[in-house]
This record gives sequence, structure tokens and C-alpha cells, in this order.
Amino acid sequence: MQSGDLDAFEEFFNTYQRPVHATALAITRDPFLAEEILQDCFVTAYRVRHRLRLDVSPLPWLQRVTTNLCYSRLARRRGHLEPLTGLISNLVADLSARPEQVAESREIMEVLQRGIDALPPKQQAAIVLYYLHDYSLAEAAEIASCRVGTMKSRLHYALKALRSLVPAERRSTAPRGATLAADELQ
Amino acid sequence: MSCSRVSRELLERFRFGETLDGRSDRHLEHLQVCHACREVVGLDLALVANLRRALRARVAGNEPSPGSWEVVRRRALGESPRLTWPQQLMRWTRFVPAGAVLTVMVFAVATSREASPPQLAYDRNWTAFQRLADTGDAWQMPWWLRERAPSPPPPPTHGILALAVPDVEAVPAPARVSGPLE
Repeated sequence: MQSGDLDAFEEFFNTYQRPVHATALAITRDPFLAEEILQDCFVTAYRVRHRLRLDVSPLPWLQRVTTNLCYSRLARRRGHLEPLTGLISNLVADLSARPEQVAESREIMEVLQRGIDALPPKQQAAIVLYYLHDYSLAEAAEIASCRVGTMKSRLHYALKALRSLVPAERRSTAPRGATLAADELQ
Repeated sequence: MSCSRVSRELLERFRFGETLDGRSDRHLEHLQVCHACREVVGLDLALVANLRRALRARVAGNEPSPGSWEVVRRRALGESPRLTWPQQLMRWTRFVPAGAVLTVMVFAVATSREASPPQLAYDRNWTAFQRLADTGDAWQMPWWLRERAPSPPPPPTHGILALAVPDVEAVPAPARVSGPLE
């Protein structure tokens, strides 16, 4: 791939396009913008292919490029975020609970989606890397080019902001097993 | 162990996915007996679980479009090869003629002895003021210009215009006539 072999680069693209696209989509919530960011990211990768190391996974580097592209794009279109769309409706399809519980859960999801949108971009990237991709703190910090303590701090403030949005009595509407029962502590 | 300490320390461990090792025994003992803390920790876990669901919902059902690779391939092929520094330097040589012309123009303006810029501005303001005053339209001038209108220029002291303007000091004052009031 480093010599410019397009077949090898296509394989590289097919291997890593999904996580990159997921990160871009989770941060921007715009499928078209996520598509653009995905393309920009891989064009950048092709441009610097000579410097890509083959002995380590390029995914953290790709994620870093993606989050940086998201920052710059979001900064340009801050305040022009579209209202909530049908993305949320996919969410509760698997719930077979009572209708009022489904409605309440949907409401919480809407509040959370708005809350995520309102977070500063660096905190958005932090929760996407940590809670969506399940990177460890060290990996997420490496991708975000910051220290582990900084990453912890970003996650802490992001959760604090989200917690303040969701009233306490509503937060308990969670998937089964999420709340801490007394018997779990035994 | 206080509730605030339990909330702070234990929540952080849950939040950041740390395992509950021996260091957490005291926290767990507190949770066994403190209903408020148990609720707080449980609610926070629920929030994290909901957050994960919300994030997954953002990407659910959205895959990269099949045409993405074609766009990337086309853009990658269209990328110009990286230039070495002498080549980059050569790219700037196209601006040399324009730079030379600009330098000459700046030099010409800077060395011009026609009139200094402040004098030009003064003349322009005075001419505008005079034109409006002559037509009786001085009221059209903005107040800040009326108040800052330049004072009339001094009469010319040489040249042909000096002949046209009477020298006030040269005209003798009329003789004073003594009257009955003095």
C-alpha cells in the first residue's frame, strides 16, 4: 500500500471504513457529513501512506484524523444542527415493554441526544471513543492527543452535563440490569 | 465513610470501568446500608447505559455508502504528487513579475512630491464644505463634519492669486470720527 498500490489501499479502506464512519456519524449526526469526513480521512491516509507504520494498527491514527475533521466541520456549522430525525426511532424498536415505558424511554433518548449535541466537540469525541467504541482510557487519550487525566476529566464533565439534563426519576428507565440492585452488592 | 466520598470514588470507578477490587470493600459496605448512595450509583449506571444506547442509535442502520471507495480512489488519483522544496520554491517564481510591478508602484507613490496625504485630505474636505456652504446646503452635512469643518485656508501670499485677494492689513482703517457721544 505504501508504494501506492490501489488494490491494497482498497483493502485497507474496506477494513477500517466502518469504525471511522461510525465515529464521524456519532459526532456529527449527519450521514452526508459523515460520508465526507470518511472520504477526507482516507484521502489524507493515502497522501501520507509513506509514513504509515505497518507494525501497529492504523485505527487510532485514523480515529484521530476523523475526530479532528469532525471538530473543524462542527466548528463551521455550529448552530446549524438539524433537529432530531428518525435516527432515534430505531432505538426503541427492540423494547417490548409497556407503551408508557417506551414513550418515556424515547423521551430520555431524545433528551440525551440533544445533550450530546450540546456538548463541546472534545467531550463529544471522548464519549464516542469511550462509550461507543469501548476504547480504554489510554487508547482514547492517545487518539484525542491528550493525557489520560484529561480524558477522564472530559468524560466526567460530559456525564455531569448529561446527568443534569435527565431528571433523576427518569434516569432509571434503563435496559434491564443497568440499575444497581442491592443483591448485586452481596 | 461519608456519602459524598462514596459517590465521588465509587462512581468514578464504575464510570471508568474499573473492576471492584479489594479497595472497594469499604465502599460496598457503605452501599449495603445506605439506600441514598445505592440509588445514586444505580442511577448513574443507568445513565451510562442509556448513553451507550443513545450513541449506538446514532450509528444504527447507517453504513458507509458503496460509492465511497470510488470517490476516495478518484480523489487519491487526482492528488498531485508531493513536491520537493526546490520545486515548491520554483512555484513561487511565477509571482516575481507581479511583485516587481507592485514594488515599483509603491516606490513611485512613496517618493511622489505632488502633495502629502494630509494636505490632500485637507483640500478635499475644504472643497466639499465650500461647495455645500455656497449652495446653502451646509445643513446637509453631518454634525460631526460641521463641527470639524476645516478653517479657511490662509490667503495666498505669492503667485497670481495673491493679487486677487485684498490684503486686509494693507487697507488703512477708516479715520475715526468724533461724535457727540464722546
